[in-house]
Amino acid sequence: MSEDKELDEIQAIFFEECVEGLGTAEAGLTAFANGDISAEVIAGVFRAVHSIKGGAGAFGHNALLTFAHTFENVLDRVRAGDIAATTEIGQHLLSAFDTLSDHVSAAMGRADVPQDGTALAGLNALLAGEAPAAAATHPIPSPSAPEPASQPAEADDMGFVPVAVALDLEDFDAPAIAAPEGNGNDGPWRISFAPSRAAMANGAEPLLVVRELERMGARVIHADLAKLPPLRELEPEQGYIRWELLLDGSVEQQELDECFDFVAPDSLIEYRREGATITAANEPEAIVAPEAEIVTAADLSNPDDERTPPVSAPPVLSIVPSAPPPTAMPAGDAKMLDAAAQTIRIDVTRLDMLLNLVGELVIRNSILNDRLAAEDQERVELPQLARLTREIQDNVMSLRAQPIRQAFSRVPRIVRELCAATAKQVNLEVQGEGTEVDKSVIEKIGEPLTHMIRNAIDHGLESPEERIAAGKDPVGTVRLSAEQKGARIVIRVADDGRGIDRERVRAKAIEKGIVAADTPLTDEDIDNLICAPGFSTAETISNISGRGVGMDVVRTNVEALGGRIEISSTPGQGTSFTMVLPLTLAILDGMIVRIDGQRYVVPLAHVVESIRPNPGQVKALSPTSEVIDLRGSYVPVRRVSDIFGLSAHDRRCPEESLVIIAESDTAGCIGLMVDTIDDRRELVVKSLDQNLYPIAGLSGATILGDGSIALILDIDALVSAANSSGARFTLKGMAA
Amino acid sequence: MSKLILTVDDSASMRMLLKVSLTAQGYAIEGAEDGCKGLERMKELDPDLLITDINMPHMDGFELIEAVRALPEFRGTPILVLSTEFSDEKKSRARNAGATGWITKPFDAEKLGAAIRRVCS
Amino acid sequence: MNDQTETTDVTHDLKIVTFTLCGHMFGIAMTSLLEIREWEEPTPLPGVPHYVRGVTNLRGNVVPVVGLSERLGWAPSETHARSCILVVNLDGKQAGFLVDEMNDIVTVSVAEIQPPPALDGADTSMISGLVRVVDRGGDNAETTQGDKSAMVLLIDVPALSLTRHLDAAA
Repeated sequence: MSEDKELDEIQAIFFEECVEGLGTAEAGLTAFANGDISAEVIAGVFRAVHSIKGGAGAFGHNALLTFAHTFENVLDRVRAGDIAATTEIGQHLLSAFDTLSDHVSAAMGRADVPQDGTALAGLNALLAGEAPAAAATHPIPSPSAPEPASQPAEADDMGFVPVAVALDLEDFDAPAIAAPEGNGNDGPWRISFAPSRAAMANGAEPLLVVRELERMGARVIHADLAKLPPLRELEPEQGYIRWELLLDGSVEQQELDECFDFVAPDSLIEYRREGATITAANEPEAIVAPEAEIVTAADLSNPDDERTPPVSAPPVLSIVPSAPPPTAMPAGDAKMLDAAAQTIRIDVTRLDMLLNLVGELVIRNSILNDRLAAEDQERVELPQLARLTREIQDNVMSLRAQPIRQAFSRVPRIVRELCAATAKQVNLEVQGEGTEVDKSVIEKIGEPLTHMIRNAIDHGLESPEERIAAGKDPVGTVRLSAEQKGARIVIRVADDGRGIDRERVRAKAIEKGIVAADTPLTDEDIDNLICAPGFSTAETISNISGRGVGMDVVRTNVEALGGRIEISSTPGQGTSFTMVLPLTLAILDGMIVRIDGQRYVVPLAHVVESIRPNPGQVKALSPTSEVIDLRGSYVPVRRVSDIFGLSAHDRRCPEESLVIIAESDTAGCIGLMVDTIDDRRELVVKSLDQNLYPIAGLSGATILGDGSIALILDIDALVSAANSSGARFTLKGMAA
Repeated sequence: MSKLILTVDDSASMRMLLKVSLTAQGYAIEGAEDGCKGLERMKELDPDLLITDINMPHMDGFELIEAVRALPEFRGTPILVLSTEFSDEKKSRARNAGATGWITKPFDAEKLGAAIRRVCS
Repeated sequence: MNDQTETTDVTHDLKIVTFTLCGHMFGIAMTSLLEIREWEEPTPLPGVPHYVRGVTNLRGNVVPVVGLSERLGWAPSETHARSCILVVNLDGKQAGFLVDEMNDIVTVSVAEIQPPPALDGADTSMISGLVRVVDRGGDNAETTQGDKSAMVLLIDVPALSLTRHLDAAA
């Protein structure tokens, strides 16, 4: 595997983590904005944003890194109590969160990099406005120049900072970065290094530092052993040796700084350029040293750290360890237990492969079942084997299931944006996020769900004034719920708004010519008109949901998933839209039919009825086209073998055939003439493009109980083809 | 024998990134996703070096370092902190807990390698 | 898929599986071969090129079955008791090739493989090379003057481009 590919894969995992992290952060911030301001919540959000930042840096997403960094700083200050944790701040953080989500999308290549100027300014204002008193003694970095700009450059900033150094730190502005270059100061380095007693604490090994210096080209010119005691007095963890090294002048001071990064602060570390008078410090006059300017190994890059006491410069070098900082942390910060269950990531294709194998097992089982007599079946315990096999199949199916939370996660943001756009106040209640659905469904319900939420807020809920006038809470409620009922998943969006104005819907439908003026309509019929193509009730179509477009699309999408939409409404009390969907798209309820010796599957969702035609009920319009008289309306009738150009050697007359009336989502009805209906059952859908390519007129294939293949008809495509005489799929003859 | 490094980080991508970078430099890498698991893996593997994140669920990096240092067999095992945090307070806390050094994320493979060489022969 | 890469490495031996189509001996690299199955009439598909005979169930996968003979421009294979399906892996996709008869698995030296000679008007784009092997069976194969060696046409499996929609539509 090439390294690039490997990195891409790791990055893909990082993006998954980002999405999880965003979910955690959003949940936490929403709780925060609703007043649940506990240390655990803030710590959880902080950690999520922190991880996103870490990965963003690692993968070079600088815009995301910069924003996450500023966001994290604010969260850190909230965590520390420097910024008051009010619900108002929570709201600010939520809107910053939305920008963060946009940055993540941009990093994933799914969107452009967002304009985050306003959001950044807001965060920086929080940082500046609520700056803690301690910062007053030292200027904090200008909010308009957030730290992350320099953060990537600090990638090499390794080391422990808290050391007081005998140099005037007040005038010492980040020497590690500010080392002057190209001014003739490139004399060789002379380094003295005498590890202290503490130099071997914490598992450190000073000798390795010497080795690393040697790797950089240094030569040990002297090892001062004067302090080395007799062996019996020698303490193995004490440092006794003082090394003198010479190192080529081309090495930058920063590299030396890094080298001594981890060395205990009370060790003696000196380095200076021989024969040069300029040191790495950009203000040499601030340094008073006996022979040449001496730079210590201490990390001096944080001059604004108020805990580092400014020390007036004595003429000798001395480095003293700083006092340990307070270790108090917000209680519970570290101990917060994540609810995250133990998980393992598996490539979906592997799951699909497992599903295939189990499907094969089920099929072999039913072959055995067919071939063995009942007493033999019992003798070889076939029923037990069959039951186990079914259980394995169910389990494998459940592996593809994922909590619907993933589809619901976008909703809070949509609600927030709509609240801002409509000046309505909405309380979102979510239930059943843990309901598990096949991933194929989750991938496809996002858009319908968005439309339903928009519809509920834009059209269902009243303005706060209207609600008050109607004696309601000015804050409207939208309930989003999911539950599993048998093999179906029920997703409901309910509002407590004004309900459907049936008089107006009816009037509008008549005006639009969707129904005739004298059509008797039940309340249910009227409610369903909302989903009729081209319907619109809003007086002015808002740019938010554009009613009519929205619900029409919802119905189309849901039906394409093999589901349906139910609407119920009570005037003055609210409306609920319910999507009823199959749990998986990998499993299909199908009718198995036989035509000219071949078996095909008609998806049951499309089947309206099946008819054994009476003599004369099927009428020829032309030598090649027929219609069936269906209670006064004429529906075109086609044989699948004709549509596909398959030769019909054993053509039955209509009276010996069956006609299945199938309804397409878009193009009306068709009567499919078949020889027999074999079965009606659940089928595992296999795509044809997995090993070949998609074929017009077919939506896939399935494997039947005897191991043979039946092709699944794409009713929408067949209806369109049947209605346009020119289009004909051809199926090659069988006698090849 | 290549040196064994245990990396503790709650981000799988970070663990993998470390694994890829360090395997390329000849180290053997094992990973753990939080402090608790990290401590268990330490006892199990007795690695030559521990690299740990700070912000992790269940048991954070400071607690992990303290717990590791409390065990006599790990008194001399080098521990590097790898974190996006870079405040002095955190670094000092890590050193007091027993960390050998601190590396700021995002890391660069070469500098990381150099840092490791300075604590682990 | 591997024929190409392996022919460039002249120091290596190549294992090939040989079979007959229309009385001619062909071979494909063993590395492409997944399994050999008995012939079973596949389920015909609409709207596919004539050489795609249909789809069959291979361990729960829906796999196309290709009449290799007609794909190569020879007369379509007549199926009989010895007909079989070579299941090959083609860039992660699977396909079954109908062949008249399985012959042998032989090892040839890559150095002995000759490129197909360019002939006027002959489409040899699906043949990656020619190689002579000792024939240990296969009465149908052309044997040369009783020395029991036969010429094998090595098929360039990727060049068959079975799974490319554009090619199939042409």
